[in-house]
Amino acid sequence: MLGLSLTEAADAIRRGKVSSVELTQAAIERARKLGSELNCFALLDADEALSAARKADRSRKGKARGPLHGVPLAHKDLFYRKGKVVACGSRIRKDFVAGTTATVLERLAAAGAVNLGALHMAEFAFSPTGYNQHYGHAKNPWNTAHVPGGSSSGSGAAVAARIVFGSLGSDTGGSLRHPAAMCGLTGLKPTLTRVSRAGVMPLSHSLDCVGPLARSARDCARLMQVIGGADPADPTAAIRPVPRYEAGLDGKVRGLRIGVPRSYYYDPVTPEIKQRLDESLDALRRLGARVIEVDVPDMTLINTLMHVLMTVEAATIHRRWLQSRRQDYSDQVASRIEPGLFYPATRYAEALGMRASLAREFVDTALGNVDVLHLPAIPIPVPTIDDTTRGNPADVARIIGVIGHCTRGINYLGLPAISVPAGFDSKGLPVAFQLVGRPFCEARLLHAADAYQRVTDWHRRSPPKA
Amino acid sequence: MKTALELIPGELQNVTLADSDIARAVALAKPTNDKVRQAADARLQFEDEPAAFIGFLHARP
Repeated sequence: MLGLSLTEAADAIRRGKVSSVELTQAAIERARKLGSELNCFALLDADEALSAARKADRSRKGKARGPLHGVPLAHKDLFYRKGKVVACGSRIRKDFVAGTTATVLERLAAAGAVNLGALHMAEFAFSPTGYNQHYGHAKNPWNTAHVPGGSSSGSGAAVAARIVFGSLGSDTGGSLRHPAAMCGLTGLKPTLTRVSRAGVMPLSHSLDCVGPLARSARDCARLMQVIGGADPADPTAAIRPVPRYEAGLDGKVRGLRIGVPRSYYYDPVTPEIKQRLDESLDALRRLGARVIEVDVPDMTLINTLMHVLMTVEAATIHRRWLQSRRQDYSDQVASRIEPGLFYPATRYAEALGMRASLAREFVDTALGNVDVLHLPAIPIPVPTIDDTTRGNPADVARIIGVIGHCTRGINYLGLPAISVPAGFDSKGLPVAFQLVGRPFCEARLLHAADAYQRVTDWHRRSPPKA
Repeated sequence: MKTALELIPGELQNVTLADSDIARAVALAKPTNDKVRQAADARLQFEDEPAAFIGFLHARP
């Protein structure tokens, strides 16, 4: 049952083929069996989940409440849920009890979803590997010696291990796309402001996005349909209508123009990853898409400006805790926040001020003659936990830095991006490509990813730990 | 003698950092400050206000 996709599970409940209690019970059993081994749960709320599942089954006899009726999900531990501890992977907030519920969680509940609990994450969402010194590393279900990717590490591990059918995470520099790519899942970072951030612990207001992580583009489409849209509790949330993402998935990409960058993105890509990326382009070509080489602007500058925004805003959020509770941060996280204390306000304002012109330049140059960009998601094989924690600090820093090579600049540009499974490396770890689109073109990304997933089965493969 | 950059966290931010943490942060912040300033000198116009970015997102789907 847990091998179904999210949409298959929802449809099976709706048709009465399986009950929400059966699915939820199975998910709880798997969470108890694998949750500790993968270290992917911050909190398992079995009793509340079963109670919600029973209620869902009772009400289904009348009418399904929504497109997620009875489906067990769990989310990154930075979404506030009133009355619950939301620790954000930190020691600082280990006793923080939320006074409100995040809008996106309310929307999932209104669509009928059952909440299984909160998922482990990197401390304050500050690691592309999922590193968490306080509560241990989440493990990659494909090989537990390897990182699951972060910062939505528990989301990646729990969805890949078939414990839950989908999960919400956040993405400031790749935190949805890294675990999606490393765990063989599909993860969508929407356009900045497409999804409400009310009730979500921020890392960087100018960059944070909330999005879905699931097993397929279709699953992500259904989750996006539920969580997208204007929100009175978040005045920054876009008021433009939310397209009918799932209804638009028809598998047809004939004539779609796919841009492949001539520079920057492929610089650190290993030959084996390149091979998988080329194969994914071949599959899209066979579907009738056209692949066109494109130029991209200076991404090293864009990455630098992203770094200034992220660290200054994070330092603003964490400054008082850094003064009073520095010992409660891991060194790796504190050392990533602290440079934000050293940038003058003029640098920060300059980084913000150049954003519109650089985004315009990127869209005009890289996306001017194509519909989507095809990029690596992670340019190197999924590293081991040891690779990213032990040994020469310079090597560790280099590996951690290169993980975000293809993701973090996209957050500065505010553009939507989706990570899509593209096969496996010689060690059996997932490889992924990334599609990037123009602002608010999530539907096009989901459409292209879904078309690819109709002719490939990488997204359907289960890891050994499932 | 400490540089102005090294004095910022204690003097202006009221955050006490170990000398080693200051050295590490300055080693990163100094070249980043330079790179952003140079880029701004080359391309930032007086009229480029930050709010224009959100306008760009909505204007260019």
